Amino acid sequence: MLLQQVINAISLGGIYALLALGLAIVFSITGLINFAHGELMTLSGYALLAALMMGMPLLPAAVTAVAAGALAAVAMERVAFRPMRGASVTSLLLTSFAVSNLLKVVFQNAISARGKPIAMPDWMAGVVPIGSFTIGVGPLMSIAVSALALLGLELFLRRTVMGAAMRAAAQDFNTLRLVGISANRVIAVAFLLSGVLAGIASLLWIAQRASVDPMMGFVPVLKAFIATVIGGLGSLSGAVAGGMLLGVMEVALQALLPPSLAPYRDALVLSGIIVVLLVRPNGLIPAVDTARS
Amino acid sequence: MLDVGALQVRYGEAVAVEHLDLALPEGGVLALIGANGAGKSSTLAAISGVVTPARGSVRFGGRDITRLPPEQRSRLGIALVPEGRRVFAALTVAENLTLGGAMHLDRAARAVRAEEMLGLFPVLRQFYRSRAGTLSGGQQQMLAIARALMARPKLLMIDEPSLGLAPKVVDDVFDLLAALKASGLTMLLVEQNVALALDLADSAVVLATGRVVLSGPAPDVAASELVRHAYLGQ
Ligand SMILES: Nc1ncnc2c1ncn2[C@@H]1O[C@H](COP(=O)(O)OP(=O)(O)O)[C@@H](O)[C@H]1O
Ligand SMILES: [Mg+2]
Repeated sequence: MLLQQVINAISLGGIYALLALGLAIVFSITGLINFAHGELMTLSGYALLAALMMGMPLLPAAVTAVAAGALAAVAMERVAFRPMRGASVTSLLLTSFAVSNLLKVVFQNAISARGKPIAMPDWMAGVVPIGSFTIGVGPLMSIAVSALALLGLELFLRRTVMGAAMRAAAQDFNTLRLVGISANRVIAVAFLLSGVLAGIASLLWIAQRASVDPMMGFVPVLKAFIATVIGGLGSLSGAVAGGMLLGVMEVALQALLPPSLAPYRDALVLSGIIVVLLVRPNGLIPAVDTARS
Repeated sequence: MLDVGALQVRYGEAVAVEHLDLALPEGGVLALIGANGAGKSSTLAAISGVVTPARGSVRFGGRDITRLPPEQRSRLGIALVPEGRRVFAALTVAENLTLGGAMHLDRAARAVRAEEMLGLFPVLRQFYRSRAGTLSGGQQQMLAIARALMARPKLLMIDEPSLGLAPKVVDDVFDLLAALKASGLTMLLVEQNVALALDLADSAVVLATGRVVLSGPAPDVAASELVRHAYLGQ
């Protein structure tokens, strides 16, 4: 029914938006498209699994998972990307591919190539009645968490000095350094935020699938990458718009396509994206031109 | 206060500045003049840390800062108002000022300093919550200077402040620079308007294709054949 589909679309779009934002924050400041972003998501998933296995209650375990994603993102920047600072876009891209693959192999060998189930509490599969309808608790919670994360990020970027520094860095990094703000610190915070967002997205993804595997982050982050391109590479509001649009398109096609066409869903979504980019080559909400002073 | 010795700046193979010496005592104002492409901005870039010199040394307050990154030089008290102003266009005037003092002052001191800046540049007050990108060229120049002053720098370097500004606005900018000089601020000024620059400065260095061709007290440089012919049109 329609209402549930709308909720599902916003819920999925919200997850894509969180992931796309993480990619966009890092890209807007460093020019790096971090293909290892998906592995941050996976790593958060394993951290959640480990925390639950150690007997932590769900909420502290979720916080642990997000913290693990954030720490891993900062570590990734420090170990893999900082030595490559100033390298060409291609070298950065290859580095992020290498990090991504390395982590996948580590997950496969150190944990398991197969999925590990994560038991979700029963209430998450429940429904809430709204008038004569019922709506799943899981998607509703997912929407609420995504909305809170977006709001928190917006407040951080608008209300704090570091947030202003990050917006300035996206425009003119050299001048920001001239006023004394450390490049290393701004970049570290960008990765930290991207890790937090990946961690939250991971929780929401797992809440609906109840398992974690080494490839878990790959498909959603690929979609998030597409979302950032639709929205306008490097534009934060564009990333959110692109993520939402992608979620809505997927759920709408899922609901509307006759079963015989269902396998072509992703092909149709990608065709839709090509149309969007033909009409608006710089995305829905293009990033500010950084060359302008 | 500032001592630059045998400075060489290169971009790959191209040499932009060759064997440049500069000395600027505390409270002094030095004008760096020369044609387009002479290496003036490159010299400021080497002093502010945006580029690392290929050779030579930069000393500030007796300390060798040749290899220090720009953010650390800023914390030592070196501020640059870059060519083209480079205000953070997407941020408000208030946010631009905040970032100028973010690493130098705590929150309360920043608020006090921002208020001082609004006193010095009254035009910024009415645009305090507007995006810097919406300001006129002259207002952006004022903002760029105010942003640099937020940090209470010991050395203020300004690259071509009059570029693209109406004559009346240029006068306003130079009145302000004169007031800053009177307050004892050490300044290094790069300026196309040589007459104005030499009027303000105590000493001057003339660059041509990356080399010093003349230097000395500002009145002497202003009276020289070279400067009178090439820059003052006399
Ligand atoms: N980022 C750069 N990369 C390569 N060459 C540069 C760069 N910046 C300046 N140059 C070159 O260095 C020389 C000096 O430039 P610059 O310092 O900007 O001169 P000025 O400020 O006196 O006009 C010029 O030949 C210019 O083309
Ligand atoms: Mg110049």
